[in-house]
Amino acid sequence: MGLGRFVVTRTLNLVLVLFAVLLLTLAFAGPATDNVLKRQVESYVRGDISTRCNMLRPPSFCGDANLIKQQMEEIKQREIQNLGLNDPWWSPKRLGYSIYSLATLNLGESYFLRSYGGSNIVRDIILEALPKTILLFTTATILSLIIGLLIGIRAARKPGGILDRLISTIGVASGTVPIWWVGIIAIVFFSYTLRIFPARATPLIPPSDPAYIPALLYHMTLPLLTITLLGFGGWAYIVRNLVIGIMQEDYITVAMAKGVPERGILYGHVLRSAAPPVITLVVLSLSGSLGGALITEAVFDWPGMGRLFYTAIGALDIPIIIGLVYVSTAVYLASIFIIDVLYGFFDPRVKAG
Amino acid sequence: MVELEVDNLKVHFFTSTGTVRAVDGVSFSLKGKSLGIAGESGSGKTTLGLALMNLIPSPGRIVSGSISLDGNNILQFNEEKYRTEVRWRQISMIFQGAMNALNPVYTIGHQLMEPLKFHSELVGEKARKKAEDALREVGLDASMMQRYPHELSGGMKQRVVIAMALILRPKIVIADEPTTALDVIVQAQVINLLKRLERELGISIIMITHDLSVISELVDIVGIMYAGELVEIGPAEQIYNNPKHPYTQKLLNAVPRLHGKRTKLESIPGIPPDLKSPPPGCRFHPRCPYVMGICKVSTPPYFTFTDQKATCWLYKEKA
Repeated sequence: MGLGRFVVTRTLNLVLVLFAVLLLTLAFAGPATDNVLKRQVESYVRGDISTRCNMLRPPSFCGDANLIKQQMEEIKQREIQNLGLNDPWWSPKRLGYSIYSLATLNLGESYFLRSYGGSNIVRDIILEALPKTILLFTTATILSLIIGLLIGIRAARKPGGILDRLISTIGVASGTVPIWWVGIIAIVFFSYTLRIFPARATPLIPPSDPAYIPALLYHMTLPLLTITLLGFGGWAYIVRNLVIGIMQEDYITVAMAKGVPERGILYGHVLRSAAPPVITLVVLSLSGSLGGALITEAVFDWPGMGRLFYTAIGALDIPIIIGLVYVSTAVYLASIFIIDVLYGFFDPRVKAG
Repeated sequence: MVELEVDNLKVHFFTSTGTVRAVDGVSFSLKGKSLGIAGESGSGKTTLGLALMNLIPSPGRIVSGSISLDGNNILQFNEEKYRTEVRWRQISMIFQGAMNALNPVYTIGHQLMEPLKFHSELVGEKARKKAEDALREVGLDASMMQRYPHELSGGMKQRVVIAMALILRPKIVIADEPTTALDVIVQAQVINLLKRLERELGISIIMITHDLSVISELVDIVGIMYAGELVEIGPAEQIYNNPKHPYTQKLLNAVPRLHGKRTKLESIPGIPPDLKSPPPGCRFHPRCPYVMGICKVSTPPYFTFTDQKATCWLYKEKA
């Protein structure tokens, strides 16, 4: 199968998955959204009529309470009709419209939450949180990856040595403690006892101030260190296990016999063979890092995707929840697509398709 | 003509449960001839081969002895000198199980040219040409260069591995069970190929195998290993027609013969000893039909018969 055909079929496949996830999200949120919207219409109509009845020359129905009720019901039904809310959320017409809007990244307006710029457009709110998450979590992921890779390779050179045993312990230990818990401890220790880092990760000065960027970097040091230090051990452990496994392979002995120097073996033969699984993990964790971390961001008060999710769920801001689910799903599926294509390049045994 | 002299070579593995004496005092010399080393699994054949490449994996170590190649004790070379001057350049190896001897993520061409990259000045187009010639030499098409190992059949892979071992025209090629994983037809092709290359290129082959019928075609001298020791060595014909050591006799009876009188296939009772604590005296004595009192206490030296020698007390009087 050619690469072109592979790309087309794989894309179609992933788009289908994306739609399935959207349908599920809509199924969860649909009934609630309908109620909220209908109530919004009602309160709007009520306000409108009371304004009109308080005018100097009120319309004739204002004198009779029954007439007011009748009038209100009439306008309400008309508005619902106009907005298309008389069809249930699962009707093909409304579903089609919802999916079309989401696919074109028209994520609608939030109920309660606002962006720092004051916008209530969901897309604006998400686009404001995403760079913050990239700044903290993607940076931390890349850092722990590089450190883990280098240390893991070193540890694998002497299995059972001091570095190896240390790394294995750190790797397992750091994998078992939750980041948010260590985060709380770190805040207590570094912010309240030692007072060297701020306790909250968001600077108080407005983003327009030129001092904002250094302040932000200073504020993110503590969460960045915490996430990186807890992350690299796991990476080192994975890389160490992969490398030790590959070092046992016959073709590594052959390469040594051929006179390939140790560096060439480690950074050539071994890493090249370890590339496919490592790349899978790298792409997945990079794309995973874009979603931030719900509790960790809440603990560090970091204004990223995770905290947005956290607040949106707390406030039941359904458009934002749907928007976030959509964006994370799309990112995840895109990364799977990237892995599929990369895999074929790094492992000749797996031809794309 | 290459001269290889192995003297009292000992390779021990220091495991947590004890020292495994995988190769325990092996000596032989080879002057421009081909040697076959036979023995059961676990007798130390492969370890002997790896010791010649100085590639004993941890926790193993060459504890004593010397290997001299054309008069130089190569075991005294440091790692860097061994890598650049001995490995693959003078002694190369055809590894056991060609299926796993090629790295799945590199092309055949890349792996063939690798020894050239580290041992010769040949680069680029010249290296490519040389690698293509090496492929043709073993009867493969030059188009194999761009292929990956998984696209080749077992026989083709074995040919690639042979081409790789010969590309620098080494003096000695160690062939460790080169035909074990192959079916009989491909086995015969590979043996014929090795025979032809041995004749045409004038290299010495050290053939390591458990299959005595494979060596008989290919080598001048046969050595029999048992429990880390070389129990008998001599010209191939002598070993086949007039084996001295009881173990060799038993081993030969376990191989079906096409010619000569038909005998029932025999197996050797018992199992090879645990190399962590080999039996005292002759290591074969618990399984030997001719065992005597002295065998259980004292290690037999070599008893020589013209150009054949064996470590067995049976020949004490005759010698």
